[in-house]
Amino acid sequence: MRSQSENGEMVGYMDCMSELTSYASLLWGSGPYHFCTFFNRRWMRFVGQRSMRELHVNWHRELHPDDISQCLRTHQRAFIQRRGFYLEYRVCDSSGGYRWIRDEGTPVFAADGCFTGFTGSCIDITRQKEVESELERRKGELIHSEQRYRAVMEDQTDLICRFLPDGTLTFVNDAYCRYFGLARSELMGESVWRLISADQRQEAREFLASITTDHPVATIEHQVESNGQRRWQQWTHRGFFDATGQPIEYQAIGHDITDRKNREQALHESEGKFRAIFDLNVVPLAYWTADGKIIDANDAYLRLVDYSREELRRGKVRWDDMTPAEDKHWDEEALHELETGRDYVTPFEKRYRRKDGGIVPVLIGGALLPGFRDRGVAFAIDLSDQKRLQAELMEEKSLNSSIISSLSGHVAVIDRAGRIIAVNDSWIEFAAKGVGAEDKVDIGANYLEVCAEALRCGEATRTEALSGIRVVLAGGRSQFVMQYQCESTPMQWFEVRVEPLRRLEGGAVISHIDVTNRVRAELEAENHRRELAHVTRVTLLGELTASIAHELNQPLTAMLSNAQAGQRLLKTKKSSRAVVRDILADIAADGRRAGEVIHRLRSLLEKGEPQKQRLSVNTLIEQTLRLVHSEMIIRRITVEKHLYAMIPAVLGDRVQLQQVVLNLIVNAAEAMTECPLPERKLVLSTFTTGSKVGIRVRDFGTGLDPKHRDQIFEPFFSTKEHGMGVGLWINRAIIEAHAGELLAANNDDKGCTFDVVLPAHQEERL
Amino acid sequence: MNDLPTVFLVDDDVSVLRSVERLLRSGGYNVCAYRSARGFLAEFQRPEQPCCLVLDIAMPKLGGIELQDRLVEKKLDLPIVFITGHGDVPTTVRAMKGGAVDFLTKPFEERELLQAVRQALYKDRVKSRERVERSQIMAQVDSLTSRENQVLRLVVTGMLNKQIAATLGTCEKTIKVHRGRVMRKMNVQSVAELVRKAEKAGLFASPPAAEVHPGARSTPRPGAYTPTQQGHP
Repeated sequence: MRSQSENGEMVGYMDCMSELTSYASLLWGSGPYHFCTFFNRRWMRFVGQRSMRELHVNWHRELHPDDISQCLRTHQRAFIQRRGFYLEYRVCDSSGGYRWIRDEGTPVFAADGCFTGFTGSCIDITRQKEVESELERRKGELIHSEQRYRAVMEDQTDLICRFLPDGTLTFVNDAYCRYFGLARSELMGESVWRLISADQRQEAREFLASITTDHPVATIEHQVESNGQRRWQQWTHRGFFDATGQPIEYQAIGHDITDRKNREQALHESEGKFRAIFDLNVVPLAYWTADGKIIDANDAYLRLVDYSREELRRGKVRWDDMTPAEDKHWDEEALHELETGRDYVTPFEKRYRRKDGGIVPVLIGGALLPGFRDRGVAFAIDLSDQKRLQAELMEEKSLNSSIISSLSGHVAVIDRAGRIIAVNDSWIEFAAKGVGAEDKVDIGANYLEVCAEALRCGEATRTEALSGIRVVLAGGRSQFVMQYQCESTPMQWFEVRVEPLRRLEGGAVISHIDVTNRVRAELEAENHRRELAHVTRVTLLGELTASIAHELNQPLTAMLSNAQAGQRLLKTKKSSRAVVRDILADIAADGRRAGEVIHRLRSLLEKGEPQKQRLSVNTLIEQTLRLVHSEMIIRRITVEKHLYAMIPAVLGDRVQLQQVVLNLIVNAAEAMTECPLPERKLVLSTFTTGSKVGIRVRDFGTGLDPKHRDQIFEPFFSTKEHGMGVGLWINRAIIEAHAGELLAANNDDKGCTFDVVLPAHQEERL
Repeated sequence: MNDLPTVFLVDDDVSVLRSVERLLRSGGYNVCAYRSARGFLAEFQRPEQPCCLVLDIAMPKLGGIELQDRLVEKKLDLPIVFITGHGDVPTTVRAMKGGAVDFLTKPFEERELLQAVRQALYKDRVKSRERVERSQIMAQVDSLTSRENQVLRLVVTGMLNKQIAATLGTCEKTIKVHRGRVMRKMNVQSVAELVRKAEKAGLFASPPAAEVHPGARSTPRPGAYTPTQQGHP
């Protein structure tokens, strides 16, 4: 009440009021013209003002900037209207903080009704404001939470519904509507059973009945009709019950499990397939555990290790037991590999000891089962065959390489392009010693290019060899063999042999074999053969002595008779010159005839070098027949000739071929010695087949003894009492030297036939 | 043609044929030359004059030896001189056994040939004479009745009339009459003469006579080979 003196200008009753209310609230008063004329002590304290005047002028400065305009506007309007007002605003208190004030102004009228101003009281409502604000905030949160909940409910992909025990739907969420393709209005009040596939409704009802207070939550899977499709759903139902335990409502949350069902089905099928693959696989497969067990295995595996399925079931099959001690480290390494975090094992080889004790090499590979680190699946491939093949291959390879290196021939293997890819020791040795070009014909060199230096022979030979190699490389021929004379001292003969390399990449094997000895031996043999042929020929003519004598006797007889007849004619002097001239002409002719016989004989008896010339086999036969003319008559043999007029010529040695024909004729004649006269017939014919020319000598004699058939061409084989047994052998040698063939066969009826087949000389005809 | 004897010549070798033909002609013979035995066989006709055959052995188809056999078969009694360039012993023996006159090996001297031919012709002449005689005797035998023929055949065996009568079942007197007729018809004076004629007619060669007198076999038959006759074995 110390302030009473400071507010001396205030009306008297106001003082009283002021005193009364100074503790209750913040009081103010104003004159009729808009100015506050009074603030109680509490106001003064509240705002920390010392002087009434100061507050009177500046009270609005204490207001919160946001509230000033509204405050002033309200005051102004209230003064104009002279009506009470109600106002809330913030005022800066003595501590500098703003506080909420509720200000209530009441117009004051004098007894005459004259407006005297306003009185107002303010209450600090800061606390109230705080509470309100908190309430507001909480309310906002609540609203937000509800919105979220609703959103959760509505935005759920899960289907949510509530329905009454009779099935009537009371709530469905958007997902539910979308799922069934129906509007909420269409669903609400509808029966939930209608949505479940007809065949499963009963089951669903029974399921619902199983939900009790003791088991208020249960899950069911069933099918529904959705948008015309049958789909699988899984529902979790919660039942709400009343106090008596009767169901009031059910809430169900469900989702579509069609995909899962399909996946499950697919998984089931895939598992079945896998099982089938596992069981039926020819590859031995097994499930194993790291501690040595085989949990499961297919038949192939059991066969491999010789255990029965029963034994597998009883756990008798253990991979650690089946592994021989010396192979255990392989398993350990594999397990170690798995321990390092890999989930498969690099395939490795080991051995199994079968139940029967047999050791079988296998290739093991495996992988961990997904989600496990101590078990997995493994395959075990039987390597027995492979090992055996490998061993065989190795053996064959070492055999081959030892064979090749042991060959005395110079062997080189070239690829398709002619590059040398392998050579043997002899090759290198010869290249070094013989040619002095070992580096040029070593591995890597192209043989086709260095061939010129490697083959020391004439240009023509080289060209022939090269083209031969090229033909074999190109696959045109399966073999090329050529003999050549090496320009060395002493003279050496080589045989070059080119064989295709039987592999996909192609190539060829070239071998040069020193055949000097063989060639010499061949030449020597050829000489011997020629000698022998000559001896045979002479012997053959010896057999024909009687016949030859006869051949000579005829002209001699004629000459003698003619001469003597002439003499007699001359004695009688009756002769005419013409007769004598005839006689002399005859004598001369017979002399020549005798000379021809001798000439023919001499050519056969001579020991000349063989000379190849173009011959007609027809002529050959005619000439030969002239030699044996008498022989045939003496032997009472009829000779038939069927000579093909258009026969092509052959290239051959006349004497040798004549010898062959002569020998065949004589043999044929001898074979018919025992025959009755009318059957003694010799048929000589010539024929041609393709590029061959044939001479056929057929007799009607005893034929070849079948047990000697293969021997007749062997040397020193003879069925004749005094035969040397070289005739046919020499014949064959001669014919083979003419690149021909000598064939013998018994006739169907009687006797046998010999065919001499020779290559025709070009296509010309004689 | 003329009165010259004919030499048939068969040789397949033209040279030989011509020259030998010439030689034989120069020797004064008529020559018929053939190149084959078949040709000869086809054309052969015995001339009136004596003839012989000069034959080559080694010929195609029908050879000399076969031709000889054919001639024997055909009872063409032709003396043969063989000529051959190739005279082996078995062939020679066979030819000679077949009644060859000679066997000449080519080449031969004219002398050898002409002599052989002469010999052959002589043989042919003798044979012809024998043939004529035999045909006369045969005519006489043919003139006998069958009874007389029977009597003749028994007489020449040396039977007495009584024996013959007994054999034929008649009386000796009848036989005597038959015998007289036989002697007259056969124009013989003695039994010895009758036997000779019977022999020439070859009556002994007939089976009944042979049976009665086996000893008759020892008599050399005409044309039989006797080594002493020949120069060649």
